[in-house]
Amino acid sequence: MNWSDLSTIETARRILTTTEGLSICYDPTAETQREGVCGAVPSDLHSELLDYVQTQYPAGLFRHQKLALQHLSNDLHTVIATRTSSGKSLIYSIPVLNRLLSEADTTALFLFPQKALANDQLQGLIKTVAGIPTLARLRAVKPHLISRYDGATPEDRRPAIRDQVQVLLTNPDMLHYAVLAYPENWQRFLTKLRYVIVDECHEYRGIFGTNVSYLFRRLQAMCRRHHSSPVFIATSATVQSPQLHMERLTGLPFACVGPDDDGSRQGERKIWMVKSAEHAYDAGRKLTLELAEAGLTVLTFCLSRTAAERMMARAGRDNKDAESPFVRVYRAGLTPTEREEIEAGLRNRSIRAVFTTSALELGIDIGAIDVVVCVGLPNTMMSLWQRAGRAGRAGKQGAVILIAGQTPIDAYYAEHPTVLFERDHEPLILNLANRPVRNLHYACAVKEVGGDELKLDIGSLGPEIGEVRRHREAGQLRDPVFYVSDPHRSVRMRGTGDEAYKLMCNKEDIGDIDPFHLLREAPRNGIYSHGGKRYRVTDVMPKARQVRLSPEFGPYFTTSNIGTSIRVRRLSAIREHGSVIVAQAILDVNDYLRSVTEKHLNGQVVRTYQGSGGMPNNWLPTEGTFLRVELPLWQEAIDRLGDPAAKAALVTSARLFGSLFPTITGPCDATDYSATADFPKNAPPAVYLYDMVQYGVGLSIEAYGRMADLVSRSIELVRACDCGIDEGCFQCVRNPQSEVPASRAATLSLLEMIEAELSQPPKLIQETAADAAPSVAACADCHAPRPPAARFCSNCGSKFENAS
Amino acid sequence: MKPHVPTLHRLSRLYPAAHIRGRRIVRDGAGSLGRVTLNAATAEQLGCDDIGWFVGEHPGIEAAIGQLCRLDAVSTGGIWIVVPYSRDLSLELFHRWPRFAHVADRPDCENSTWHSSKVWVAVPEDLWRLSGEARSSEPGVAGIIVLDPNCIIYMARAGTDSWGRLHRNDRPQHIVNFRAELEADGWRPLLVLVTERPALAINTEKLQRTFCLNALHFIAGDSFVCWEDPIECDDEPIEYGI
Repeated sequence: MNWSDLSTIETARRILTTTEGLSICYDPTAETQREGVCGAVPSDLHSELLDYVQTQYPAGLFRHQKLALQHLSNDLHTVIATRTSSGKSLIYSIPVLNRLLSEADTTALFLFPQKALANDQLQGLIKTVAGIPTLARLRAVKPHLISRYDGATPEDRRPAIRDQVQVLLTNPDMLHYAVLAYPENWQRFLTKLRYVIVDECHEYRGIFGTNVSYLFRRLQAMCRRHHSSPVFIATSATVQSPQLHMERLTGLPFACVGPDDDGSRQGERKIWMVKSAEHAYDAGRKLTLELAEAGLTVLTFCLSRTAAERMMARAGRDNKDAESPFVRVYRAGLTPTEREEIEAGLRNRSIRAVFTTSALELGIDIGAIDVVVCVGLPNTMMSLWQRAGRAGRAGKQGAVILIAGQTPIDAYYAEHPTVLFERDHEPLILNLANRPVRNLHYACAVKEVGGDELKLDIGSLGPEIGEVRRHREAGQLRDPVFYVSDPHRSVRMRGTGDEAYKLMCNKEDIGDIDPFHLLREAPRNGIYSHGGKRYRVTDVMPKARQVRLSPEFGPYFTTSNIGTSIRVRRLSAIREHGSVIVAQAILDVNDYLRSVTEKHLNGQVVRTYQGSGGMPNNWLPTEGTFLRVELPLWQEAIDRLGDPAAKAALVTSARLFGSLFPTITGPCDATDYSATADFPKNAPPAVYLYDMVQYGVGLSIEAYGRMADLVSRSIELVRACDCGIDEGCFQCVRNPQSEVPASRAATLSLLEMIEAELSQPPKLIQETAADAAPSVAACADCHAPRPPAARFCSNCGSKFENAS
Repeated sequence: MKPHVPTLHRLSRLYPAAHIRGRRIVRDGAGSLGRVTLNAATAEQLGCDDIGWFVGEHPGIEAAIGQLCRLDAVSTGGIWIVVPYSRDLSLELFHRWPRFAHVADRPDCENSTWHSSKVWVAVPEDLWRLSGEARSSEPGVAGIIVLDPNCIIYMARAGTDSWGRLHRNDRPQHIVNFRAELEADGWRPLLVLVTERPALAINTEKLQRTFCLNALHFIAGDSFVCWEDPIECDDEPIEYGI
């Protein structure tokens, strides 16, 4: 067929309808092309900038751009939350360049959540500056006037950048480790700081957002010490309550330019949701290749790095292929050179299909993508719309194809697609009460003021830091972090876990991997996929933080079987419904490697490496909700179903609870929580829902009040599945991770038993774990118990009043 | 039973002003009882009731030298007897002592004692050498500061020598005896134990029994300060809580 005569949307439609095994379950009307609402460029700009903008944008600026510039000219902190490809970068570039033209020594800080985004914006800014004569001359004198400063910046260039830079493009990590930790190197920059740009502000959520929130408060305190007061400009295309989010993130009042003000030009965009008879990955791979062969540029988003690598591996390329193909894989862990090569390939269309993860969903300039294919539902609505936003940019046509995956929640939304597309973006969670994070940033703030806690600017740093100081004053907080000489090194901006491992192949550094993914993707003896190539893990060295790899040429892959053990540290709320207990608790979650299974690409098991193989466990202190099946009921379940079937049913229930959790609590980021079943030796089994963030973000504890709904929805989903077999399918009870096959009947039976118990009124409700200590005589000063004959308190040394 | 103590006049000569301050905490460090300054009134209460100060989690010898130097530079008030836990530490203090011009003698392998203006140093076994001089000094001994980073002196009640022979060098008893010799009118100089270990890690009840104390007041090491200039009394109690 000659595809070149057809439009992008028509080509995608024809391929979709002619591909075997795909059935369209959602086919709304295409979003029509929309012309921009434009107005004249504000005349109060510097004449050179005015000329430049008028030349580049002869139709003028979009309505939302003008409104945002109006706020910024009044020095209001402003957040811009308009659609993807609506010209948000121009909004923050104009005031910065305008100020540079009027005050030659002014400085601005651009923060991007990813290095790749900073690189992209740097090229754009340099190009703009070249078109403005005064700034071009200034840049000729100061080559580092506009510079990136991140982990990839060579050490020998850093002093020159620090001396000259006025527009600094970096990420929060570098702001913390390199700028705020060494303020003496940045005095000029901080004194003249006028703008702080926070791009893709929806990325600052969860533990990363909490760290960044404290970082912004410390930056403000630092600026106040340097007598500067920068204006914050934030942007995002997919953020719920942008104003509120930025106010919580920075502690400052914000003006908002929202979707209602959006006057940008948008191309025609068509969305389909499809179900596939075969596995979603196979369907996604075949569809991608067909679309690419029809001459379209296709970006296929996969749910995990492993999935992206496997799709790439099955796209016909292997380690022996020396030619550069038009299909590539893009994900975290690639080297900067590899990433830039793929981005350039997409721009010049030498690469037409890319299997990727969330790494490419943010605003990296990869040119006009014709079709976006999402294999499986993304974890958040934000991700879904960010991914969809890669297609149909700059007024061109684009298509988005969403292939429902093999999970219960995908099955649920494939049946109710309108429910999915009516959902709002997820609320962005920040947990400023997270104690370890708060204490670490307090220690950093103290270091930044020279070690004197009394000099802290609590007004800028916020009430949480003020609370820490009050506790410190009272001698109640004595964590070691307060006494280390370099607290900045103790902060992990993007998590609170351990340091990442370096992946070394024949002494060559090919990337890195965090401890969570290490256990799952690169265990000892496992096969690790990277850039479409496979490597055998020969050794994992926890002390050196290194993983040794060697190239693997056999047609095999491995899967890790991960076990999870959970210890309840403290209960905060308990309800007892007959033989079922539902509770909120502080938990210690420990992931450990059970075995590694090696399979041929055709699925046949080749060998299994039993045990942990010396792999370190992944420990996560967090909070969550659990449902415990007490022994009488559990014994009844075993008698009725048999021991293995009862256990498999509880494991399946945990998977169902985890999958359906967002349907009872509202949208939430599926990577922020997890669910598992645990069978301790001497205690009743339980299903746990817990936050995947150290010390929690207050998400999974919401299941405490909705556990009965969660059980009911799970029963409904299992009953309604039309797979027709007792083993079930991946969309109901079948679990790809489970060794013991699940049974629909057994799962339904167990869930119904639990539902019956939950329908009973709670016998005991303890909403807070009260200390029911008996009343005894106590020391008046420290409240420690007082032994009858004692004259002095052994806890504080105070003399008892009526002591002889 | 100890007699009522008419010593405030004498104590006001030993402690004409407060030069030491700290934050009183409970033994497990989970609560604070407020700031305390060591002035005549506090010293009277501590000395008469036989209450010692346990300064736990002290920042270390470097900080201690600075603090002792500042006490040494105070022109008025009593003498401070410093008891390092070892001869090596006594030598280290001597070699790193910044007020070298005020040092009257030097320690050797036989005799660990040395004197600066207001700070006199001796290991427990050599305290007897200072006994006579301390009793006759004017206005007297304000307190005994035991520098024991690992808090082990109180356990050294008996041991074996390098030949494996049992000996009875009761180290804490040297300190107790020395302090007892300085008792006057039922008041004994304050005993301040400075250690890098937290109180919770030490059997403090055994420690206080060993040093013949009725009780210990726990002072947070990071709050323990000595100043040459008098410290203004700001010992308002801080609200206790967890």
